Amino acid sequence: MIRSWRAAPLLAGLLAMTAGMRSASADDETGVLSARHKTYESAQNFAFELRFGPYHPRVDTAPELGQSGPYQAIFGDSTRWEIAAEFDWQAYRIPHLGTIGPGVSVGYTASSALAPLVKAVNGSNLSGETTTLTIIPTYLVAVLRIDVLNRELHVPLVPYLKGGVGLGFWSASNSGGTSCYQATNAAGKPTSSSCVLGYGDTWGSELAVGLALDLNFLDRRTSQGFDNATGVNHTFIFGELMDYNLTGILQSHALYIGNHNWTLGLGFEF
Amino acid sequence: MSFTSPRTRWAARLGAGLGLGALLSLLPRSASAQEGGTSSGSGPQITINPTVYRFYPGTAMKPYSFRAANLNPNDINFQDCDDDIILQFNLTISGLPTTDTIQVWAGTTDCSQSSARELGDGPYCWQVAPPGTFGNVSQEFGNIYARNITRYIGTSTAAAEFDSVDSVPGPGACHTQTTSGGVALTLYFLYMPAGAGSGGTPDSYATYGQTVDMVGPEAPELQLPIGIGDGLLLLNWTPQIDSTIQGFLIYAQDQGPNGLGLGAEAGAATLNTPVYCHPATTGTTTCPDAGAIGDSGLDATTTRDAGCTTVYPDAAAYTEVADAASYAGLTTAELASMGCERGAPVNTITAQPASAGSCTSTVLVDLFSTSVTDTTQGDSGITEGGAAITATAADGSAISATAVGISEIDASVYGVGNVGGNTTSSYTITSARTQSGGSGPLVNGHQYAIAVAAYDDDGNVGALSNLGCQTPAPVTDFFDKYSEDGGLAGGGFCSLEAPGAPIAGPVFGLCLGTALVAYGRRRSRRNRSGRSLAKSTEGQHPRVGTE
Repeated sequence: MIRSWRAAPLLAGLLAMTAGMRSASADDETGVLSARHKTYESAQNFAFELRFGPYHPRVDTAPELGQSGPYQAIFGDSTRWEIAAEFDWQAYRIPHLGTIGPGVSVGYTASSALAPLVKAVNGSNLSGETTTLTIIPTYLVAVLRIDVLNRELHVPLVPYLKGGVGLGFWSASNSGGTSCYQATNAAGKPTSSSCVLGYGDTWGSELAVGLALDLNFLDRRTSQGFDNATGVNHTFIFGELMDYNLTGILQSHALYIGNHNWTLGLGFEF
Repeated sequence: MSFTSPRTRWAARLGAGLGLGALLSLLPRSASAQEGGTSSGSGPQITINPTVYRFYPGTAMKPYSFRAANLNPNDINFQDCDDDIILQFNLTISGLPTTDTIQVWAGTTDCSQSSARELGDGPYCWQVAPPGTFGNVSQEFGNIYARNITRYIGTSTAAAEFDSVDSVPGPGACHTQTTSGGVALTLYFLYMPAGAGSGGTPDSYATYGQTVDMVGPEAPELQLPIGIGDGLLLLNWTPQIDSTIQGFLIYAQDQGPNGLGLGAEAGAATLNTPVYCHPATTGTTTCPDAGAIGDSGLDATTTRDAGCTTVYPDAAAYTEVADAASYAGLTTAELASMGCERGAPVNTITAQPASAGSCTSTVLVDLFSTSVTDTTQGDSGITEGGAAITATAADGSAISATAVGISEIDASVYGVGNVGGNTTSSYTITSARTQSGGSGPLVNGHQYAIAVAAYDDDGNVGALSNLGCQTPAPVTDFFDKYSEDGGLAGGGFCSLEAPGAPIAGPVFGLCLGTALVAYGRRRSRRNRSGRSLAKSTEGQHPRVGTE
């Protein structure tokens, strides 16, 4: 959780920067000109985001694992990254507040490392096999974008909130393919004839709060032309704090693959 | 292939240079009087059918399979030579009748010149088919053996007529090429005047371009140590830069637990003679001269005659003694008196445990290597053969050395992988031939000797890489560790187990229903506002979807 709030200064910086921007753009925002621009603005119904940020699966927080920390033991604590895309439908506009609607997201992240040998060979404890945990995080959320600041007060900042259901698909593999664990007794003999395949899904929740900076203020004429040519109303960059809490809601056994972290991205409203 | 005469010889050379020999061969050329020849003024014309069939040697004429199109199926590669295949040429001859005879010569120079077929300054040509192989008829088939074509490549220091004594060259004819890459030979079908001998000038001739490549690519460098996996081994190698490489063959030999299995030994096989003894003592002994020595009818054990034989009621009860060496000094008669006999000598290979760092194999060895190249002149101490190629510079320092040649390892036995591409550099071995025969997964705890060889666009498998040995061993991957630590997840998707599950339907249905309701309400609002806006702002683009 501490890691998640390291981005707080970043958001504060964005707010400070945009405060100055408002005065810079005020000359262009006479009422007559603004009204004419609005008249030619295309319809805005959707948003698309590309995001990139660190991803640290919280596997080791599962209570059944105690203090063992298998993820840490295998993959260490180096930063892994996630790339994701989100599509939002701004289904309803709340007057003098913003838009609200559903959004879906799909991402990808993987952690890889050389698998350790059960017994060291020639003094080396590492094998040549690569063991990998691949995660495809998805979620379905309601997105509230509070763009009243941008639309009515001409401050190009759009705070937003997201909340909904998360579902992560995961797969553990090694150089021979999908992992398959076969339990053994003390003598090393298998206790069952079959093994448990290393893949599954984990349900949970997704909560996020973020702040987007509408880049249209940088050059309103260009952005207007971009809108006329492509239908993209707003282009924005954003920072987000997310609590992707995949702990297996309604599941008896689940791999904890959630992530509490920050993410940065580029978005478009159209 | 082309038919030409000395007057039009330039055309054939140009055609060969441009790779249009096959096309030109289909064009009949007019023959004319040859220098020093006895032509009647209009010599016979020869056309060679561009399709040259291939057969296994012998009289059965069993068809020999062509290689795949990407492996130059019409070239002669090492395997073609090793099998000494028959190339069957089909000639169409016009301008008959004549008393001329057809001679077939091969070389990298113009064999139509008599000087190329006589002693003098090289390069020279050699005759590849005995006289009479091709008769003087309008449609003629003739067989030429591959080794007769390849036998003088690289050593054509003297012109050679067909060797009638050694008409079937040995395998050495397949090791005459000393550099990698194809050798562009030309077969000359010479229409020689009767009695002209090998040095005469042909009345006319036809040519056939025949590329020979019997040397594979240089050896790749296997990177050591080989990666250990659970029932698998992970290889990486550095390929040589060679555009003719088509892929790599991977070989592995199962050497048993800790390398103690057959084939891993460093020493030679020893000849041992087993001794079998019968446990029973109630056999019937017959001596032809029983009593002749004066004893009580049955010779004493130490003095009885050699002619005595003992027959036991259960012949199958003989068992091999463990200390056969202690019986080595006994004669057969003495053994027989003890109820024993010697078996047939057998070769026994004593497997040696692999000491740290050692890695040997009796089968993953290059049988042939044509040359070793290094970067320094005057170096010495170069050794070749086996898996290791080492070289020592004149100053005693080690230098890099690479070998070119042919790997004659039986890929059907020890081949465990075939990967295409000339820059491929990795492979994961998951199975190999087991010590008991047949293919099976790699066994943890067994040592495997491994080598890699590249093959070229003629299908030649080049020299072996350095040898590597490694033993697969169990590993703990993430999922193993997770499960061993108490984790219970896994086993597949759709793992919701709560009452009323799955939840996916209700959740997504709820969200979708909400969204559709909102969308419908919004469209109806939009339509109403659009109609009213159109009335008040004629000609203006209405705003939709934004406030």
